[in-house]
Amino acid sequence: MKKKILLYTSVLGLILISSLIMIISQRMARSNDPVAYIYKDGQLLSTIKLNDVKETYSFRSGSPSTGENTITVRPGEIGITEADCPDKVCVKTGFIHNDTIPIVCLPNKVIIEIHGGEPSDVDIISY
Amino acid sequence: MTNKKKPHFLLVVGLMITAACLCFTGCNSKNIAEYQGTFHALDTIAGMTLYSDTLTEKELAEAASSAEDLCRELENVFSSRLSGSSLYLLNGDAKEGPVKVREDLFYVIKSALEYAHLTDGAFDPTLLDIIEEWGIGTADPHVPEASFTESHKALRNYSNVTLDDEEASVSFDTANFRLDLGAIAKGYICDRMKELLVSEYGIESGLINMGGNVLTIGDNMKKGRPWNVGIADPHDPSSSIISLNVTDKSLVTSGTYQRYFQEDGHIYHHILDPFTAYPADTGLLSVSILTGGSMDADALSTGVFVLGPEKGLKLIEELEDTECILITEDGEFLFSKGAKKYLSDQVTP
Repeated sequence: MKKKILLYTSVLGLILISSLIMIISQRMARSNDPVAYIYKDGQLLSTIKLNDVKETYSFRSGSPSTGENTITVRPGEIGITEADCPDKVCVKTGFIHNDTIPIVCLPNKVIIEIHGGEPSDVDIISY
Repeated sequence: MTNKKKPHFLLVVGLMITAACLCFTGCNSKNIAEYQGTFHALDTIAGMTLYSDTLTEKELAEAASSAEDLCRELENVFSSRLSGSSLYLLNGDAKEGPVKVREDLFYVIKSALEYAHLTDGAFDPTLLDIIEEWGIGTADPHVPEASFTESHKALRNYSNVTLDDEEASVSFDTANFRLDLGAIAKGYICDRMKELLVSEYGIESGLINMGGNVLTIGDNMKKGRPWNVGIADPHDPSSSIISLNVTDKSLVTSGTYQRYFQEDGHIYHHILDPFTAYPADTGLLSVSILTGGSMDADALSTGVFVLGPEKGLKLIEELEDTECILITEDGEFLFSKGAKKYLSDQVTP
């Protein structure tokens, strides 16, 4: 009888532990860090884990011939802060921190998208 | 007896807990295939999100690819800038006499003229010369000479476009204007993309975004609720200031905050008033229209912006199944009567 109880308890324990592992791993996958993907002319230039950013920094993307954008990264968010394009729509978009809206500089062919991060309640923004 | 039952009882309870755990981990993803993608078109960025519980991811990608192809085909019809587009050729030839055009171009021009009449000229598809002179969004935006704006304002040239329904032909009665369909064609193209996705691929849940013009298909299948569509905060366009529950409708916003330039301390935005040939100055920062068709929402968002809050709201109240939300320069929200029932979060109007 004791052997049977031990067997049942072991099976139960195993099932519960594996279920808990599944739940925890799925939760961890869901709350993965927001990652910014920076594209220029359709090519992926770099990716930045935004939650790893501790201090604000900026860098330039492109060249005078292909168009230059200054990209600024802050903890948890990213934006284009300067651009030599005529309309500056990219700068006016401001900083983004989730996947609701990308930053687009059409003249300089730059797109910044965020993947991952805390899901937003809003699916998309009309602008 | 009790000793015998105990292990069975434990097993049943354990299995129930396990079933609950598995449900937590598995139920949410209920085999919903997903597609998300973006592409450049119509001087903006377009995007699609598609969900399906019957199609595979590969099939969704094929559907999106077809919709993208359609968008590119129609861009070559409706763009006033692309030399060789149907509209570009029409602008060159229609002052010489009737020009037979494609059915879709004829339909959009006809609709544009109807909106011009409905808004008493506030929406005017004949402003290409004025748009090009201002050059907003180009390398050389500037305030035109006073002589230009004086000679181009309040011309109501939409009355000088003649359509022949039987021949599907268009002619211009005077030679002093060209058509621009930029404030209506994006919406029409969204409608056509949706029609393709729904009728040919059976898509039941999706979003089409054409540079901020949003058209929804069904509900958000993945989240099991209507699409939650935000309206951009005019002071921080990457954030939503208010959001709406949208099912099978379009939300289009015209705002002053993205396409503009500054000269001598003044801000000049891209929504031009046909009556002044200057950017519309009606105390508004943005106009969002919610209605079934994206073409209608597109044209009305510009028309209502130029009409201003009073006349604009009055017009929207006269239209069926059409709502609007205006944001004024004072930060005030103005709603059409039926708009508030779509709100999905708390606001302090």
